Amino acid sequence: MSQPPPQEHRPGFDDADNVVLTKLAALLIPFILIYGFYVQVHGDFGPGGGFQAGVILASAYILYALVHGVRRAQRLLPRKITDVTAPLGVVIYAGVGVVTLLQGGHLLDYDVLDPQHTQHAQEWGMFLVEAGVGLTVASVMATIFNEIAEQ
Amino acid sequence: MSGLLPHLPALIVVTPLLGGVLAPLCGKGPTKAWALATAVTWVTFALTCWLAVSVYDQGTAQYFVGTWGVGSAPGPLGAKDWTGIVGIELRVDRLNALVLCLVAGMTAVITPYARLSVAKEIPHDRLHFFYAVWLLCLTGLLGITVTGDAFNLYVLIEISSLTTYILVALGKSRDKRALTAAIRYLFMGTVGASFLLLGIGYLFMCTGTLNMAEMATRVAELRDQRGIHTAFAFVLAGLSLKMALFPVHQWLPKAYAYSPTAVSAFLASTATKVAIYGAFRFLFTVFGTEFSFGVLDANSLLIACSCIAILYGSLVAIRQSDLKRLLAYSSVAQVGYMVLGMALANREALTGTLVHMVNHALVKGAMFLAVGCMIYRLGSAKVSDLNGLGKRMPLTTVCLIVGCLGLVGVPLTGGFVSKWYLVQGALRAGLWPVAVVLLVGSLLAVLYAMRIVEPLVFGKAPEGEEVREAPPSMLLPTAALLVGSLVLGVSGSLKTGLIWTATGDLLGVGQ
Amino acid sequence: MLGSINYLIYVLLMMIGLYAAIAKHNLIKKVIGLSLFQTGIFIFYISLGVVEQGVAPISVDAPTRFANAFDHLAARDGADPEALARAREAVEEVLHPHADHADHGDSHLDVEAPETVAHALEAAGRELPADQAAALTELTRRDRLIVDGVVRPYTNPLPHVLILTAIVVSVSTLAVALAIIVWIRREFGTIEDDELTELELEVNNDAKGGEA
Repeated sequence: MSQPPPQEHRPGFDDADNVVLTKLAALLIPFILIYGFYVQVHGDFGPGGGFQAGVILASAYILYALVHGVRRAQRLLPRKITDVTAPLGVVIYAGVGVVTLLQGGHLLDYDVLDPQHTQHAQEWGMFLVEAGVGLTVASVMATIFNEIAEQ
Repeated sequence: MSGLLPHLPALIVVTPLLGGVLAPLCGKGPTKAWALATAVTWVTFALTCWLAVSVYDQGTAQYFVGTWGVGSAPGPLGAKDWTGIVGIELRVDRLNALVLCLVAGMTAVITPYARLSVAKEIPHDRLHFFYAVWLLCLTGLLGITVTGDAFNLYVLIEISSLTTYILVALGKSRDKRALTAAIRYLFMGTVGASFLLLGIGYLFMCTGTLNMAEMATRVAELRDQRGIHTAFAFVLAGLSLKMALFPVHQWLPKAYAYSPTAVSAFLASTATKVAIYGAFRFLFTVFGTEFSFGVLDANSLLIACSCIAILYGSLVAIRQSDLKRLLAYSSVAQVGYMVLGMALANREALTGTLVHMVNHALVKGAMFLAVGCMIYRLGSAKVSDLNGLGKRMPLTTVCLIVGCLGLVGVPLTGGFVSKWYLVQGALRAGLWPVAVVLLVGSLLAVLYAMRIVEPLVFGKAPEGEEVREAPPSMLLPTAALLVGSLVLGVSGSLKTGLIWTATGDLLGVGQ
Repeated sequence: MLGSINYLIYVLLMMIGLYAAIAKHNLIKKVIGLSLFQTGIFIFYISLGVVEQGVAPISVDAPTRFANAFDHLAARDGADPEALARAREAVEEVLHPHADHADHGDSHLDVEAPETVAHALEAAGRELPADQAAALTELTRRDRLIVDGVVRPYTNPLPHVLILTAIVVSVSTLAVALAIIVWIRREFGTIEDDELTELELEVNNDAKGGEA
């Protein structure tokens, strides 16, 4: 990322405009995104969670980049944003832990978030932690893809 | 403030973790992320010291992460439910308190040094990532030390290893061989960690728990099972790779030689020490002294490997022309000393190992830092660069010479105390050839130390450019570590101190 | 023999992986070998969690558990359909009370809370003979699932959770390895291990030459 942008036109990187692929991707990406969010919020009731959701969400981004070219994908989701969201997810995770500590509980003891309704507290705690994980995983996956695509 | 005390085991891991993820948000540039890292490491060091004092006074600290501590889990259909530790337990006794202080303290001293040194060896737009990875590595190392859960230990070992590969690879702008060193380290490290994972899997299969204290009680009942024996082999192989014991040490010299110098100092003084702590934990706590050294007779294997490591490491170190490689091979030998003490498994030898761990961390850290000062001013650190350095960089020279004395184990340095205990331990175990190996190793150390000291004192400086002394922000940490080693050497309170009681705990004997 | 086929596969995979990681010269192939090696271990862990006849540990909510348990009891020999129907109603009363709690959004009934389940069991116990009540208690445990009239235990979820973590770790290792290999390719122009060793030696000699 530190080297100057390549001068020559790189097909697939700078653009890509295969009609069949773009149309198909336009069909698929919304479903991938919805599925990703479903897996994200469904994690505390069944199989799912932040890791899987993050990867699925990132795969939507990667599909877009493959079909429309990395340059356009990066205009959509700039590096500046993923560079911030990747650590931010971990901050959310650790932040939940610190909040539980401040509330007088153990680290990541969600019960203290709402001592009257521990079940809701557990759900909220897990939701927030998984949201942090999902954010980080999605950003990191996109970053890895970008980093290798830019070589 | 005292409300924090019970949460300290968690806080010392969370603090560097938060620091590590906040560092990349600080923005590019050499100062901001560094200032954050320095603040975080010193806070962490203060917390570990506080924890160590409390553990020393009041005994083992226990902490459960999450909602569940001790609970009951349903057994399979028809079987009884069992009660035990369900959540992840953090457990700090006198042994880990010592290692925690060592790791956090070394990092706290090296981080201020890193600002100038690292800025010279790494591209500036990567610096904030460097400090992020640096703090995450510290998180992993502290986590390994603090955790009481076997699987957690594996994950944290991988966290510290992954960050270490990156730190080593970042040495590429000074020497591109850092990249191949990093990838080879990655291959060996991953195989080692996988063996550990497999061993923990077998332990879990046989004992049904992942908590190390509970494993220990169940292993004692199941010691004839083949699964436990297999687990032992895998765990020992995995940890040996991680601590670079003789036949599987090849990654270490290259990784140390080509990584940025601050990283070499950091790794030499913390990473191998933590791996040795892991071996202590598994051999003495989980499997138990009697099983490891009685039933399975692991000590003869370990003693053989470590004796070869001492001789081989020292001999190869003598032949090196690059200072960092020389120090790295000396590290291979020093790992031999530490494992030797562990394998002798009597109180004197264990004390020797722990003192050696502390002393070697201080001295080798200081040596790498001094070499870093040379690289900062000269651009390289070959043995031939040492010629006449005494006139050009007198303070760095003093540091290097004191460091060499510490490595050899001259009286009044910590190295003397630790070798004294090791020799005593060997004699008490009735193994006089081992004592001879220890002495020969020290003689060889004199030889490679002479290769450093001789040109420093008698060498003639090459004509040409003026070289100034290294800046104080780099010299101070170097000197601080050496003073620490000297204090360790002259203080007489060892028999009553943290180390002696820690070895007593390990062997299950009283004060 | 067939019972331990998982373990055979795991050893085989691990050995293939280790062989590739050691013997192949191409760094990418080495990384693939490493991944295979780790995959073998994952299979080992997953095999650990298997319980005979076990089902996936997906929890069912309390009303469904009770309904399933009653269906199962009704199908057994010597069941008393009337008593069961009364018990079913009593449980219904506890788990779906007709009281107007709906107004206070916060205080709605938590059907999974241990007190609530115990309460429901107690209500059912008043209508049932002792042995049936005991069977009901056993059948409504959270870790039991009734599939096609057969009570089946859950498989142990812990190894799966562990291995999920280990998979994430191995993916991270893969990412780091690939990133380093990309760098190696840029700096050295090759990713063949033996050529790299030669190039490294050249760097060594250059350094020595510069010194002399």
